[in-house]
Amino acid sequence: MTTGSLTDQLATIAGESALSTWTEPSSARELPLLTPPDEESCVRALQLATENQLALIPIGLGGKTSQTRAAKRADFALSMRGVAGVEAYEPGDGTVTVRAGTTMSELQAVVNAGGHRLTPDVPLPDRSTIGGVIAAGQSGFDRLRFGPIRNHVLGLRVLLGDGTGALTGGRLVKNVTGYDLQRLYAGSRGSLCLIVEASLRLFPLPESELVFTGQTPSLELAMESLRRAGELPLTWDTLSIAGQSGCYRVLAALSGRDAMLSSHRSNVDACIAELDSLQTFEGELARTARDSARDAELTGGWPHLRLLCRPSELSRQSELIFSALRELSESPPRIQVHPRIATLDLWLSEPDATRRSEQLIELFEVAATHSLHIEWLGSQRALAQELAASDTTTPALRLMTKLQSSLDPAGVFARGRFLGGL
Amino acid sequence: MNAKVHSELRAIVGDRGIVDSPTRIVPYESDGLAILRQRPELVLLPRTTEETAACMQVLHREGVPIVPRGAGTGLAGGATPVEGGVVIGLARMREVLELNVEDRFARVQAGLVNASLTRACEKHDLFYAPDPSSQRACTLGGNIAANSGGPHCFKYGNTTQHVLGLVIVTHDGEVLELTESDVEPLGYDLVGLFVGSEGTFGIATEIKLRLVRRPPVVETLLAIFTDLDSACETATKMIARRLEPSAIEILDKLTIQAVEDSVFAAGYPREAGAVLLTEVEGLEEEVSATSEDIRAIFSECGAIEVRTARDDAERLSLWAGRKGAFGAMGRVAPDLYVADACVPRTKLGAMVQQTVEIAKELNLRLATVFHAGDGNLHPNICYDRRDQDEVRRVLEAGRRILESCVDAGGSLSGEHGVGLEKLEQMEYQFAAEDLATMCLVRDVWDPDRRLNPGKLIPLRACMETRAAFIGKTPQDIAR
Ligand SMILES: Cc1cc2nc3c(=O)[nH]c(=O)nc-3n(C[C@H](O)[C@H](O)[C@H](O)COP(=O)(O)OP(=O)(O)OC[C@H]3O[C@@H](n4cnc5c(N)ncnc54)[C@H](O)[C@@H]3O)c2cc1C
Ligand SMILES: Cc1cc2nc3c(=O)[nH]c(=O)nc-3n(C[C@H](O)[C@H](O)[C@H](O)COP(=O)(O)OP(=O)(O)OC[C@H]3O[C@@H](n4cnc5c(N)ncnc54)[C@H](O)[C@@H]3O)c2cc1C
Repeated sequence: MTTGSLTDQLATIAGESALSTWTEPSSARELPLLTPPDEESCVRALQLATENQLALIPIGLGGKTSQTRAAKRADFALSMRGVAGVEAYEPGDGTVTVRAGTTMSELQAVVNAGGHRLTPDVPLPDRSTIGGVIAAGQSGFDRLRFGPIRNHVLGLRVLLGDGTGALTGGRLVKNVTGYDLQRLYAGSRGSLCLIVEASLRLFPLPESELVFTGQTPSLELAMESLRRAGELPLTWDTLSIAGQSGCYRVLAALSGRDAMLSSHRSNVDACIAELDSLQTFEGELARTARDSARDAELTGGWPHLRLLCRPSELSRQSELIFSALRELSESPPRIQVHPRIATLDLWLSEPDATRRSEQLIELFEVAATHSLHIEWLGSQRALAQELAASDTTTPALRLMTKLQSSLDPAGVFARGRFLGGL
Repeated sequence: MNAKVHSELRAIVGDRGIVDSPTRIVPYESDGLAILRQRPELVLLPRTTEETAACMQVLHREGVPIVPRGAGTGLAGGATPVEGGVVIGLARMREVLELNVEDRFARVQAGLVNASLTRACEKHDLFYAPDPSSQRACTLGGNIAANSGGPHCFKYGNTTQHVLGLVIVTHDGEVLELTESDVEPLGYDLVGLFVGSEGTFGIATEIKLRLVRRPPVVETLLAIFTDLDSACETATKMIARRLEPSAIEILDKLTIQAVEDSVFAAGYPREAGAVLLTEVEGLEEEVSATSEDIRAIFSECGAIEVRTARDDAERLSLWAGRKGAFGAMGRVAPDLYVADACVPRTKLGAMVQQTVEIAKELNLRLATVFHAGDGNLHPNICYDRRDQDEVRRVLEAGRRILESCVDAGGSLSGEHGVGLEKLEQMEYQFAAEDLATMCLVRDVWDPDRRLNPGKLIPLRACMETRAAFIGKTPQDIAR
């Protein structure tokens, strides 16, 4: 099908106004973008793709697509942003069912009004759709308290490549009937199905919130302060460090019963007392402090690299990465660390994209030598190709590939964007 | 299976790892759902992943059906070898392979009994959170396969939220290591997909589990009501007011009496219409604030008395009554049918009432004990399997209860799984396309359909899938 006749065909689905263009970040290729206004149009788009052997990229608002590799082949993109709105919110039951294109801010506003809190607390919630967040398997700033999003997806309604609708799970907080296919779909990054609707578990809005912040030139001191805080018998929402050599900002966020927070405030103060510029925020100010810390790091875009390990290994493994980087570059990277979850995000300071890619490839080699688990989060094409070539075929990957060809035999969902050619 | 294959398997697992004598094989004919039985051809009890894989390779070559089994405490017929074949029992794989206190996880063999894990880590002030009432007998592998719950899963979540990694032996004896990352899966979440697959995807041989820190303060409250309705209303209000205790359990009158007559006697008042058992955990101040809010609801809903466990011994005794409830029911009737279904928590009272009516209509004795906080009902029907008419009425009541839960927006199972028992009702809850999609996924894990055949998804639905996807009729495929 020529590009002209494809856009003509797509226009028959929901009119010209539902058509625009979108550039796939990892390939810089411009694609027609269909934003169907309803589920029926999504079905028609999938049928059109199946009948004409086309491949499509499902997106929300496209914010995380720079993290996916370039598709082997893609004919158009389909944004779910038009299929939005809350289908059912049961405040008495603490569950919500929502259409995929709803933004996290829209959803948050609805459930907050009913006294509930939405997890994950993702950056830029007004630019993230719930479908995109689930498909990306994205964790939020509140992961320490709530765990990964896949724990709270109670059910999903999806469309398979040929437009067939299928439900998995339900709207119940507890349910083991049938396979947990929602676990398979959450985090599948648009490579298996189109998520159209999700049911989620909600949590109570806390009575109070407290956010502690401080600064220090020493990463060790920042880590040690948070290690001590983490040892307190408190359930933390967030323990994080962000910054660059010379200045690290520490944030510790707590929420819960009023009485508990007031009584333990001084214990937290004692753990972080050696930091500079200490501040404690309460109530609305606490929320603002947390939200701005959550979003601040992203002004420079997504991190380039993430190290994942066990909490007890984080310092040693981070040091291996830092010392490799010292060999490669004069200027130190910007980092964000969640010590108790044990992730380290890195933004390399090298401005030149080619040289940055070379540095990243070097870091992957260091990681391979020391058996570190690192993930690439950027959109450098050279690196993407390098990584795709180095994916080893494990039994797990073979199984994933079979799952993909079984659920999407015609390859309607563009392949090659995820691990190992998936 | 011929004698040669037999001795090949014996060579893998040793003499003590094979059960084939007619008397020793009897316990493997069913799980806790004793109504349904079938004798397996053979039982194998491997000791390691390697032995399990070697057995699976032989059975794959021979095309023999395989039924994984933990302790056989399942209540849905999951470990019953309906289509014969070989049962692979994990009972000899009971090692704790690694206990990492600093990073709070344990690596265990799948046959380890649930309670043994908590015992192994309690000196470090850690515990394994999912606590099925059968925890002193059931295995962690069985828990993984069923995605089991327990009273404290209200706070901590079902088994699936605690599994960090798995080693799985697949249908053809390949070893699938899914242990690379604790934080995020590499690629699709195969671990999450496997949990709850009821032995139809493979055999879990090693499990990496998250451990949780013991809370500093635990307060256990027992509220006593004159009727079951008020207890249900209390639970619904606790959820609606967004209170967060760690467990909310309800026992009705018949259960209370059975418990008090048994070795699990917990001092529940016999004259009560129902009791609600709840536990609040955390720091001193949050426990007292939450417990004050809960007491206010108790009094609003007409609790006639509220007891507080003053020490660990009292707390354990209150819980022993709840955890021993199914066992205690043995005193009421020779057999017990334990139903398991879920409803939205706003519909708890109405659904419990409906189960009572169904039992009354069919002239059956109902004892209800359930995880109210999660909307997970366990209407238990006492019966005598020698009375054929009663058995018929029990099965009818079970069916009607499940269907009314589904009608109310609920589901067929909250924790026991579908197994054999709820196979047919899967079509009541799910549309053909939903089941067909599940079949597609199952066929990827087990293309020959030899792993726990006859469970979880009705064969009819699966045949239709194949037909739809490869353009043949179900009759073609059946042939
Ligand atoms: C400049 C920028 C930087 C950001 N940096 C960060 C950051 O560092 N860390 C962070 O946590 N967040 C970050 N975010 C937020 C992040 O973009 C979003 O929260 C998240 O990616 C979801 O966005 P989305 O809805 O646009 O999904 P998309 O980015 O469009 O999609 C995410 C993935 O899911 C797939 N997908 C989307 N919708 C569906 C669907 N309905 N069905 C099936 N598959 C689907 C896509 O193919 C893609 O693989 C950033 C956002 C922006 C704009
Ligand atoms: C008195 C009593 C109380 C109970 N209370 C609860 C409760 O509170 N919550 C709850 O959730 N359940 C409860 N149950 C049900 C039961 O104990 C659980 O389902 C438990 O997880 C079963 O474990 P098991 O080791 O006995 O497994 P089995 O009964 O042997 O097997 C259960 C299923 O898992 C499969 N399986 C077993 N091991 C493996 C493995 N290693 N790999 C792959 N598949 C495997 C089997 O094929 C079968 O389908 C209770 C049962 C009884 C008898």
